[in-house]
Amino acid sequence: MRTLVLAFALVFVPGCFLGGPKSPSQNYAISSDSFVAAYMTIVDLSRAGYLSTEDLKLAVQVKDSAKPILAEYERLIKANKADPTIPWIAARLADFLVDLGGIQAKGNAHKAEAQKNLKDILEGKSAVVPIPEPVQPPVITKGGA
Amino acid sequence: MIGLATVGAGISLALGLYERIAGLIAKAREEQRDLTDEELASVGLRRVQAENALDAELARRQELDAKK
Repeated sequence: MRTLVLAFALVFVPGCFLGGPKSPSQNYAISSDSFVAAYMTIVDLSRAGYLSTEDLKLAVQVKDSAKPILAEYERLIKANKADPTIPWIAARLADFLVDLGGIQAKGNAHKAEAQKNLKDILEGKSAVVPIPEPVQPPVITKGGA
Repeated sequence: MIGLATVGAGISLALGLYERIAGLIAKAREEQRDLTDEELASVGLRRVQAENALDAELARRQELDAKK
């Protein structure tokens, strides 16, 4: 019993305290990579036909608005002037990520609906062609070019 | 014999704990260290590539719309 208490004290307690705050540059990298992930997810959803051109235009607008803020964040980090909190940058970036999340949610909803329809057909619950049609059907060119 | 087994188990436990704590410290240090210039450049590059991919996708879609 005493050994167990000792093991807990030696492993878990320091573990809790060691998980301290990340460095400002690590925080910056996490923020920047969140945007990379959001952009690439939107590109994938668009290529698969689950987002409209209007949705994509909106995503590009958000990207253009976020770009100078992320560039300023990068500049501050490189100049070692970035406070770990930088509230105005964090607040703006959070807003942009919410906007991008909304666009992704739209595409994911279309995708889920299409998958459900396909499942219904495969299970014989429906005999009609899967709907919804992709927002932007892929164009098939001759020779697969 | 029992004493020897107890000592062996104790050493094994101590080594296990040492490894675990060393791992936690290394992980914490890694998370708290500043990124190097190369790593920062790589973060920026990844973002620029993703931004360009988004622009390219919009251009592709607009081209498809124009063909309709």
